[in-house]
Amino acid sequence: MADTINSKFNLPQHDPACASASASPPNRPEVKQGAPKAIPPKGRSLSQTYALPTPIRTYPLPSFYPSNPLSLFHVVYTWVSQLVSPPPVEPSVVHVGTWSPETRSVHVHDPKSVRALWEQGFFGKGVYSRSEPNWLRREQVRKGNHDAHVAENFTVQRREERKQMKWDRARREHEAILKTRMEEAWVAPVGPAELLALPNSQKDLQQLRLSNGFANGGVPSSLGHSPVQPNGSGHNGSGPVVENGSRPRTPSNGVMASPPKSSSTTPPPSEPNGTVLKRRKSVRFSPNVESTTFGLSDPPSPGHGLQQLNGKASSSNGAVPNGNSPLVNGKSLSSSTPSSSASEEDTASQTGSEPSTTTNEIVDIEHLQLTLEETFYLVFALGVLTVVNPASGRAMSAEDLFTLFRQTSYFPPRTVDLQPDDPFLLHYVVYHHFRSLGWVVRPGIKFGVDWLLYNRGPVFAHAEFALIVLPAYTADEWKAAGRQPPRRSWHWLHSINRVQATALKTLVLVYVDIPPPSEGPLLDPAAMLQRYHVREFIVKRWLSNRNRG
Amino acid sequence: MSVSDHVRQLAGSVFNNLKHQHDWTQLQILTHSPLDNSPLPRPIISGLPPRRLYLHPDDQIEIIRSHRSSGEPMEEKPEIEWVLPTHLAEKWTLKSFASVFDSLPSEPSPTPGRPKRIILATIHDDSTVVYYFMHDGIVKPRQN
Repeated sequence: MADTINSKFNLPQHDPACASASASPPNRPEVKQGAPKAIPPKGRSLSQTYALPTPIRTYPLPSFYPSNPLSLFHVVYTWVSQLVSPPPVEPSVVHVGTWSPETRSVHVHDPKSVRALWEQGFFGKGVYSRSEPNWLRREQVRKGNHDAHVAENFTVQRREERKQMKWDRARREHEAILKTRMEEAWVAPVGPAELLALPNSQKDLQQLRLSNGFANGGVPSSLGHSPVQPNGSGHNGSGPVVENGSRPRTPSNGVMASPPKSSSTTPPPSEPNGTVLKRRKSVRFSPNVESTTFGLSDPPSPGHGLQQLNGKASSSNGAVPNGNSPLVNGKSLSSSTPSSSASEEDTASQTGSEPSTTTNEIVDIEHLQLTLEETFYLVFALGVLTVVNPASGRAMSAEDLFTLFRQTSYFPPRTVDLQPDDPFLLHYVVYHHFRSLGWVVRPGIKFGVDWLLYNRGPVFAHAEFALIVLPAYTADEWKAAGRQPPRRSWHWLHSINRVQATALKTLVLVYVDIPPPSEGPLLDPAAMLQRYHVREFIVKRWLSNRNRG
Repeated sequence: MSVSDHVRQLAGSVFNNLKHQHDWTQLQILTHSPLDNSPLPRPIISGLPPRRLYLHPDDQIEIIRSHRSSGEPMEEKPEIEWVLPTHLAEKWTLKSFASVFDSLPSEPSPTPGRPKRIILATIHDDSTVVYYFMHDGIVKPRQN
């Protein structure tokens, strides 16, 4: 068993993708640094923390360069030192997990094992975290005990900013719609009464301008531009003169009344005892009007200046939230703290099974959860995990797990009639294949696929490839039996491909050739897995005008 | 393990995920309808999210009209949401979803005229839960 493990765990090391990703081949000093720690200490770079691609250490001999004879001494020295004091037999650390039939997975509770499995190959997922098990750190940050970067908090912050952006956008669009409606509702004065009501001479017009405080522009243009015109402006053709004629009276008795209508807090600085004319001017030309906003029911006003104001207001709308956003986030974060602690309290009082959390000490309730495929790879291929059956309290062998996982992978689980194409075998073959090639394979449910392939790991870069696993019944026996793969429509493929394209991932269809059932089931997993073959196809959308070269 | 055990387990997993990862409050697992106490086809979780999850486009316009001036963020009051826990390996049909909708009271919806809404929580073996909105009928689309 030892040599099979050796050959298997060497595979990822020699993979070119892996070698190119890690800056230097893992030699001894670097390897010794990568000892599992419960909490990653500060000041370690990502490549130091995640130096090992698997939870297994290798001790390769340094390379010999014929052009540099001194390197021979290095080789000999390493060889002799390993001969004199051999490194511990790998796997030196065997983690312990507990089989959980309820969640169809294996739970790892020991914090050291959790960190080790996450840092050395990105196995498993923290149950209450997005992927890296950092629930405890998140709670500490929330309580203010710990100052660290937590990915989930960044997500919350980004979402707040996005939400504010969407509100501003919605408001701008709503205002644009209102403005268009106003413009469309305005009708040119064509009826006899409306035409008669228009200003008759230059003198009338002058008077009108004076009384209204128009600095520029004729009546119709100002009407057309004013976005705060009440909706019933269909009969406004007669409106300009009649209303405007009556308008000078509005400010004279309404200067005091108009500020409460506007929601702004800055009233126009008008002298209380000034003349009527002065009051009018102070209302129209006061620079403070810029910050005033008008309701729909407010009287119409010259539109040109107001439009500029609107532009300014909207630009300030865009600027203000950005300035406010830290405050907003701080508010929302701090406001979420009491509610969550309250929820903990009341649920603790409800169930009583939860460990009661004091304000200073937070009990880590999170554990690492491994899928069936991850567990079996760690047990069977790497040998760094033992799975304990909670019923008997004893460790389970790889053969036992193989059968158990095949049974469990059906929904609902079945104990008889296991097929060579059961979901566990199908997915494990793909998982093992890509893990052996040095990829970090993680479940892809969030993107609607079966697996995601990361080059070095999720902390370094986004996943590059998204895998869809499909069984292929290519054996003659299957064909004779008329066995067809599950029907997939073109729409299905197209929608999945579009989702991957927006997430900047490449879709890979992975076909697994299923051995015919007549070969019979084998209890030995290695012999069983040898019968499967994996073929990959990359699917890409081709656009004629973008890919012209 | 029977199917009823299985769905109870699922509800527990989603319950804990909502509570510890997403900070929901007032969580409870319902096995019977709160209105007439008839048994639900599946256990359903009801809870209060920390922020509002869904805003109907008509309501959004209404809020913008009432807060025309403010540049500050809109205060959005969270609503009680209904969560249906499912597993990725399960096969669901339109009929089974319809039976879930039929068993739901229309009470938690603030506007009775609108279609009912649940959140479909699908759990994977690695404890990832993905949440999707589901409406009982066609709704006005929201801008993304």
